[in-house]
Amino acid sequence: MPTAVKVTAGSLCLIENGVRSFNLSAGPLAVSLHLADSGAFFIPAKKFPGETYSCGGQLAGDQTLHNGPVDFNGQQHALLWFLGTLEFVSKPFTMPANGAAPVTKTAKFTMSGNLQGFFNNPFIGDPGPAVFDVTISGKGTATVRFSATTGMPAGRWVRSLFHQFEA
Amino acid sequence: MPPISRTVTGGSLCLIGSGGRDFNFKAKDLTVAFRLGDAGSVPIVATVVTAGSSFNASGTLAGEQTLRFGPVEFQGVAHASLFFSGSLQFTAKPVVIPADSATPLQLKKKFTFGGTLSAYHNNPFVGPPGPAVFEATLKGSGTVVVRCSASHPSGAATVRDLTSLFFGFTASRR
Repeated sequence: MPTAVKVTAGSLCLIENGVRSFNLSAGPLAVSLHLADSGAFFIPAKKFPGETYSCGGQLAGDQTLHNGPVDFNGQQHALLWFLGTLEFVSKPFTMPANGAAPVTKTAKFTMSGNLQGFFNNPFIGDPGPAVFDVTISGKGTATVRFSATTGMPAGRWVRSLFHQFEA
Repeated sequence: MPPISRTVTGGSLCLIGSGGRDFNFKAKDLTVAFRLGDAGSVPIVATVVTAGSSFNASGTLAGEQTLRFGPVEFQGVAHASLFFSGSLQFTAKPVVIPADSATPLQLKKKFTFGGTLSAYHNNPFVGPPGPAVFEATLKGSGTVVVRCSASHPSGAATVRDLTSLFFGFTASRR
């Protein structure tokens, strides 16, 4: 039976073409996920005036969630393999007009899903029993930064996407 | 590039045991993710605590070995990896460890954050790094969560293992 936990702190930091940083604190759980890619988040991406952009996205599966250190119920684990789906939902907004200055937009988000951790990679064999198994929820504010308008066709690149969890 | 002064409005430093490190933050027009080499002087490695004692989560991340490098977004430009120099202090008041028990602990304290951070395209510790991409004075605040194991015997004493420290920044301005 999964344990229900609520995220009270943490952040997902995605910078265009950079390594990803994601950690969270949720009751008996502290975890840092070594994301292998940005999942279904729209970064990198180039957006154009009048289009919509959403800070929502999904992190799921072995290729994305990958592995990382975990503290659960007072026991630390240097490296566990993750299985699950984390869904971030945020209301889309309309891209602003082109211009010579970068643009920052913020939007509220909610996050929900499930996460399990194993000593062995569940995608290449029997992982054994789960070290932890949680349903997880949280909310916060996402900040997305767009470049100045560039190139032809003229548009703005998504330079960073930062989800800040709030208690 | 003239030095800048920024208040951190989000981010977190997650330290789990001796090997788990993750640190990122955002401020006005600046987002940074560190690939920390170690936990600096933050007391996370092989730490045990005893009932009635105090534990202070304060510490500093400084220098090449600790800060290393990481991706940066500054003023609308993304850099896949820059090298860092500087010194970042996390300051919290001590927590008092409660009585022994069979359940793990989560103890919270406010912290403040401050220091300087510079970023370069080349490693400043192995030669001239060229001009800084940014030089920032930073400040911030938040809540640190100290997590400990259940009490267990260790020799003649009963102790708890410090299992993780989680510094979460809040957006409030000092």
